[in-house]
Amino acid sequence: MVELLDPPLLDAFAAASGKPARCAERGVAAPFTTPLLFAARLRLGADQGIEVLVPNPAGREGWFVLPWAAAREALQPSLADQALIGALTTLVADTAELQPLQMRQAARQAASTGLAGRAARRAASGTSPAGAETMRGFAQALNEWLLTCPMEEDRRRAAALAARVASISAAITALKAEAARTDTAFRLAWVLDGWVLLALLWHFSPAEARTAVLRRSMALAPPPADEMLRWPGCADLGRIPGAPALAPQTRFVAPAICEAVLAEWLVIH
Amino acid sequence: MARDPLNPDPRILRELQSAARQATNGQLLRLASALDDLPHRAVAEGVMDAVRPRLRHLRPSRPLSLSRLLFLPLDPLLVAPGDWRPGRGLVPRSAILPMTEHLRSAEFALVTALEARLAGAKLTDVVLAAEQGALLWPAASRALPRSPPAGWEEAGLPGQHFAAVAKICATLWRHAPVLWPLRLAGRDGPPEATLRPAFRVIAADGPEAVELCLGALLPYAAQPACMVAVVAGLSQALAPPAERALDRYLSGITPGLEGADLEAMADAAARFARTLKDLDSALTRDKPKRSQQLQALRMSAAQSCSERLEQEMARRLTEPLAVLLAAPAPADAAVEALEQAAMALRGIGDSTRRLHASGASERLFAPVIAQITALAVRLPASGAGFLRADALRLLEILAGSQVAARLG
Repeated sequence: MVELLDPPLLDAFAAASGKPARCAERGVAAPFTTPLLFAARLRLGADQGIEVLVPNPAGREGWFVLPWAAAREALQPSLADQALIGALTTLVADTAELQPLQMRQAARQAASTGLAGRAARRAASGTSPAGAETMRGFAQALNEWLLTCPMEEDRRRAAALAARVASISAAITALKAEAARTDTAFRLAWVLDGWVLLALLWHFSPAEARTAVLRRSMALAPPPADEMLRWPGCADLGRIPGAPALAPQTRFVAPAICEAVLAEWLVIH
Repeated sequence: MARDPLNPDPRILRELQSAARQATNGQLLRLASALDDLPHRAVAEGVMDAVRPRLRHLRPSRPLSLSRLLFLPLDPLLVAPGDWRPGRGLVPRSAILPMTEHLRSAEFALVTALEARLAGAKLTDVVLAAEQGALLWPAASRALPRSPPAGWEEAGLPGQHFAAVAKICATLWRHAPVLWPLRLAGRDGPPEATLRPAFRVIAADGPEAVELCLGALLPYAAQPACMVAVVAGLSQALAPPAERALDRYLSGITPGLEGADLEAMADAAARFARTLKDLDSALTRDKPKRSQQLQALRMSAAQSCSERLEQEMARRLTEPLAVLLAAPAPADAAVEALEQAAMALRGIGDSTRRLHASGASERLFAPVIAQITALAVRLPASGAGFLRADALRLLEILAGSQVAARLG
């Protein structure tokens, strides 16, 4: 399944900060169905155009920032991904901000077109379990998997990722304890952003793809913005220790897996 | 009179093999499960030899028995008794039973405890295999007899070849605890950081051990030529055995695309195309034979893919599409099944192009792409029937997102 990307393809673009100061700078993880774009982050650029942040395709740590037009040219997104950007462009034109809530609204609108498949179209109008439960399940699945993993370095990766997922769960609990605050929902959405996608990617991936998915997830794990670290219970959301260098991969899973993730993500709140 | 279980009646064995070849996938999985319960492996292995390519794709759940765990490190070197020839670094499957029974008597306490731990375990439990194998394999290597064990000649094995077979087993069992994780990690490419120290240790056993151990890993490596290059690069002395292991691997590989269902064939063809791409890096002027071998493999695999596309394009794509178009409210599951078939066909088409850039497979897609393009512009955007979005998705799968976006 794994295919390699020609690294020079994106080398011309700027690198994103690994330690964004604010959530808006970090960007929101997008439920793209094109494997290379899966869980890439979107944010508004200086000209209010949508920018895409993708993990360094050369396998080094860090992210690249591309205007959407350049990403569309270089990465050939699916029709469903193009519909998502279309819906998002309309939404952010009204609000001039891009937050997890807008991403969800845009994803539902895009899914209702049917371009992400019939499962996503069905899911566009449903809701079900909470993201916090998904996180607990993800941490448990990682801890179980690492017991079956033959390679020491991948066991370490899985343990580090599981610890980080556990810290997300703890942060959610701490934030919910402050439910009286008006911005609790805002904070919860940012803390969870991107992680449900990774949890679902793990869930839907076939066993033989798990090592590639683990390595990709380490690269895709969204860094916390500095402002998030000051929220109650969020001080441990730092960088994952030992995040590895990764081989550049265009297709670490099939597009059908990304579509299954999208359909499930749409109903998780 | 009851027959010797080590020597099944050849006529009955042929009949069983013939029946196995004709079995459906479901029947074959049930047969594999029933044969796994037989106390003696000779009949089971004989029947399985006839259907191994299909079983590789079906991946039945196999119990992790003592003999299976013992010979796990030797998997790629095991051949049907009829295909075994001395001096080729291979082990006949008929050697499994006498060598397992010898170990049982030589290491009774270890084997008894181990069989208790393996009760109910499956071959997919790779960690248990690693844990128990780490106890079993080195012990088996030490316990090998100097002369053929009981049952060796009864299994049809010439006594004079025991020493050579035993040497292969001893080498692989000795190094198996290190080789097993390397083999499991092979599908993600050569795990260089672990590969280098492992082969530095194996090298102390001599070039023959390097050749054998590398030969046992290469079939599981996503990038076998890359793996050979890493080992050969460790020292000048390791280059010749590493190159010999690669030559032996090349002479034995086949596309292995037979017997798979459409989706499994798409995966297998993609894997094989990637492996051949890696093997291209092993082509040098002083190895003209490799170039011929790779070209023959490309042609053979591309031919299999093209034939499968021709057979399945109508049955799995155009005919079901016609049914969906005629249905007033096709089920989501039927639309999704059609998309899945289209993805598998597209995957096989892509692999055919990578294997042999003739463009022949694209000609098979052209009529259906033209049909769906025409459909996409006149289908409704909403309703209960087959929709414009459904057609655009099929077009995206078969012709790419840029082609579909022009209509979207």
